[in-house]
Amino acid sequence: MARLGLLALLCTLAALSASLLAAELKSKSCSEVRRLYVSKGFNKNDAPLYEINGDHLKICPQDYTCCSQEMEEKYSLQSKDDFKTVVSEQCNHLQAIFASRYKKFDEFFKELLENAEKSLNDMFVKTYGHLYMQNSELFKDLFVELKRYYVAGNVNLEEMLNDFWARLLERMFRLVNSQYHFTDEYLECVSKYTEQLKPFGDVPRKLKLQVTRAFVAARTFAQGLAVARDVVSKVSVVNPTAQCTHALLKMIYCSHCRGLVTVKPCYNYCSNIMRGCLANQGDLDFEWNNFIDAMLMVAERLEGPFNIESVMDPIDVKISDAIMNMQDNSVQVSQKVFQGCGPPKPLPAGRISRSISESAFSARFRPYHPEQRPTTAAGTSLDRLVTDVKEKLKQAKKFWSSLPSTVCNDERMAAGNENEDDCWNGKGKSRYLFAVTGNGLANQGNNPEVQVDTSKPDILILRQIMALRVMTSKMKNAYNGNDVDFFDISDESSGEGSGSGCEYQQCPSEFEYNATDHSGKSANEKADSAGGAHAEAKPYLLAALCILFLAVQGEWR
Amino acid sequence: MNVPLGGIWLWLPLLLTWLTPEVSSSWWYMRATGGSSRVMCDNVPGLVSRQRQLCHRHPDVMRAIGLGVAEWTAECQHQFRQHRWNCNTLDRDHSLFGRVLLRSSRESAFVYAISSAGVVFAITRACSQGELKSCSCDPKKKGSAKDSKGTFDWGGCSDNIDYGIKFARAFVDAKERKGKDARALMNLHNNRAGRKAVKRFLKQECKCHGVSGSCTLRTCWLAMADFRKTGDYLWRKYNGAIQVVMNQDGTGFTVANKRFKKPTKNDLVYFENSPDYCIRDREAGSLGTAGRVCNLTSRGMDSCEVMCCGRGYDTSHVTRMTKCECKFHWCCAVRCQDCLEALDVHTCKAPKSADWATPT
Repeated sequence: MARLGLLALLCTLAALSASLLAAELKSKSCSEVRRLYVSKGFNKNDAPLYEINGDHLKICPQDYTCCSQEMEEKYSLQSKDDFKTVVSEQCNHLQAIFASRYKKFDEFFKELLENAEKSLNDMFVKTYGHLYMQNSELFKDLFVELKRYYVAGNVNLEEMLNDFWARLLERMFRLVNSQYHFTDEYLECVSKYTEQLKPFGDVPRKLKLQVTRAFVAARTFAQGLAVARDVVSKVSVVNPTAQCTHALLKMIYCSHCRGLVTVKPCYNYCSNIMRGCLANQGDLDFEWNNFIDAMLMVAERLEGPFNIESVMDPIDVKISDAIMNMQDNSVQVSQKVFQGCGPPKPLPAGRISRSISESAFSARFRPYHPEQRPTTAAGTSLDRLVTDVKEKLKQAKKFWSSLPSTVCNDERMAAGNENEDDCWNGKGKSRYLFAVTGNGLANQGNNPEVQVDTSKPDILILRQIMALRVMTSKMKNAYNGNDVDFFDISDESSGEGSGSGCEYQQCPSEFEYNATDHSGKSANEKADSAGGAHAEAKPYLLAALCILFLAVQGEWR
Repeated sequence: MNVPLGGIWLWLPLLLTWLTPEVSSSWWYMRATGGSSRVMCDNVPGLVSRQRQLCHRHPDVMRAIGLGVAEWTAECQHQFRQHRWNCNTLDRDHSLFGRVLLRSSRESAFVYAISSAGVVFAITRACSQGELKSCSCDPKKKGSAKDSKGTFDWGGCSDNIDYGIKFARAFVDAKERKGKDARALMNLHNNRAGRKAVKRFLKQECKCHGVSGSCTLRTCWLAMADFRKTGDYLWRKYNGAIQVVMNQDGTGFTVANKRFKKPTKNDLVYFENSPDYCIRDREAGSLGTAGRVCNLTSRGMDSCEVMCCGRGYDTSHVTRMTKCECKFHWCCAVRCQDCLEALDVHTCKAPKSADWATPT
């Protein structure tokens, strides 16, 4: 009887041991996952110590998991933040480049004008003395208008310069014929006659060409830098869609739920998700590259024939050339004018003596030995500024189409190209089998990772495309030496966020309508998940796009 | 501004291309103004792809070159005015000078040099006048400098001749660089000599600034001299042109006559002796001197004995109206009288034995 009892005890112990062993094999530890979760500042009570059943998970695989429901929710928010952070870093870097270069150019141009004005004043005080000082407001007005053009743009440079030369002629005509009195009507006749006589030689024509080309190129280029800065700033704020957020969570943190904390996402897997999440940004690339090319073309002009420094530095000498031409030709010009406009009335005798004394006074100025005039503004030269900007512009090409790859190259986001066989592919540690989709919204219909609604382009991106297209067109005009009819793109209006692309009459209302429709659709989606709501929105969107297209066509014609 | 050319002028060159077996150089045909750059660029026969590319990209430069053709052809005709071959152009022949330039003669050397010089001159002048968007005044001439009279400021517009030379080289030499034969090397050499010739006549001009009579500030600039100076210089080079042959490895020249000096970069070079240009020879491109005006009292190339190649001359008495006794009238007119002037004009006889072969 005792022997039988012993056997029973042994059997019981054996069974108990087997049961314990099985239980231990079944539960894997989640300690590493838990540690990382807590290190991100999350509540450690959310994280289980051992793998649990995954039926509660919505996005991540639902087999045995180290993630609780709270963890999945927290990781979803975190993955969205991670994505925004990486994209923002890339864009902020580019935006800072354009902002700083715009500021430098702006400073340079304004200081260049100040230097040119001072240089002219110094030279003319010494060469023309009293005669200049009596008439200096004429030259001050010239520089006021040039500065106004650069800052505001609503100055017709050709008309302004024509006016300057007409006023200068009037003053000089009085001075070289100081023995006469001229009525306003007579002076009007003088200006009509002298249009053919060209008393200033060819200086006015050449200067008009040079100033117009150089100022248009300089202003357009500076404005281009400002537009680039603003476009990048607006586009850098990304708001992932729900589908994008799901894909990001799956890519970045679902591997943790499987306990694979050190396994990075596959590079191509990351590429597909980024191309889906940044689909609209990809569509910006074509117009962006056109814009960069146009900027580079204008930069070539600024370095070469449309160099504003080469125009403004010697502008005092050029105007003085014209004055000397008039002085040399004054006898012939006056004779022809008197013949055509009739003899003018002589002044009373008392005034003649005063004129003589004025001339005598000016003759007492001693010769001027010119020192080296300032050839730099803002501590640099135009050549150096333009060369620097050209390098940055070349680097900025293809920025938007390469943004997904750039993001995936960040070690926080994906494994490198060399780990294609042992990386996280959304389901496990293996190779990623899908092909990489193309860039841009149209190509995302077949994106295996992110469900993208290709019929809903981002309105903000469309606005930036429009802004780039408008600026590119202005750049091409500036390159060809044509004046540019600017809409005023001031810093203030850009800051308001009204969008620099909305420069057509119908544009604001159309975009507003579209935005409203977008919001309405979102609301409908929450209330009714049926496909009907989806279909109903398309006609309005297509109609809006057609109107936009027609508006663009009309504008280009 | 663009006036479309008559239809015939667009298609005639193409027809002539088919009729003419060989084209020596065809950018010379770009004399017409107006018309779109597409029409002009694609309808000038004989342009190589590089030239056509430059033509499309720089239509304003092409206009300047086209307008300049008249200037250098006039200069050529001026220099050869007393010679049997007088640089006459054939208006209906797209190669401009006909077949005379197919021969590697010293006349060809001169034409290539003067035409290259003409392109440099035309582009540089258009540059300074602000007519070209791709260039401007010489950007290196700025600030202050010194000369024998003291300090001056660079002012005015210094001719940007380096741009003119660079563009002319790219455009004119584009065709020759496609060939590796002796003639291509000769053309490249003479083109270069022509371009360098223009630069020799860049001179400094100055101007005083200040109230009447004073010279408080002086400004100076560099300006090309009149094209006649370049023409005269190249004419002297033509008279001293050096006959060469290709060297053993085909990379350059050596003098044909060992007693002569080697050619410098400024010399013109040629391979073949010139024909005498006395009689009409379609193959050689010679029109002959029948009917040419000659000078009875001259002892030079335009004398009747030399010009007419010993065939004799005809004399005709002509009268013409000229202005004379001009006087200035205040203010401001010049009035002249009309005078009748009688003079003899001598023209070369046609060759006797070939009257039937060369109908006039």
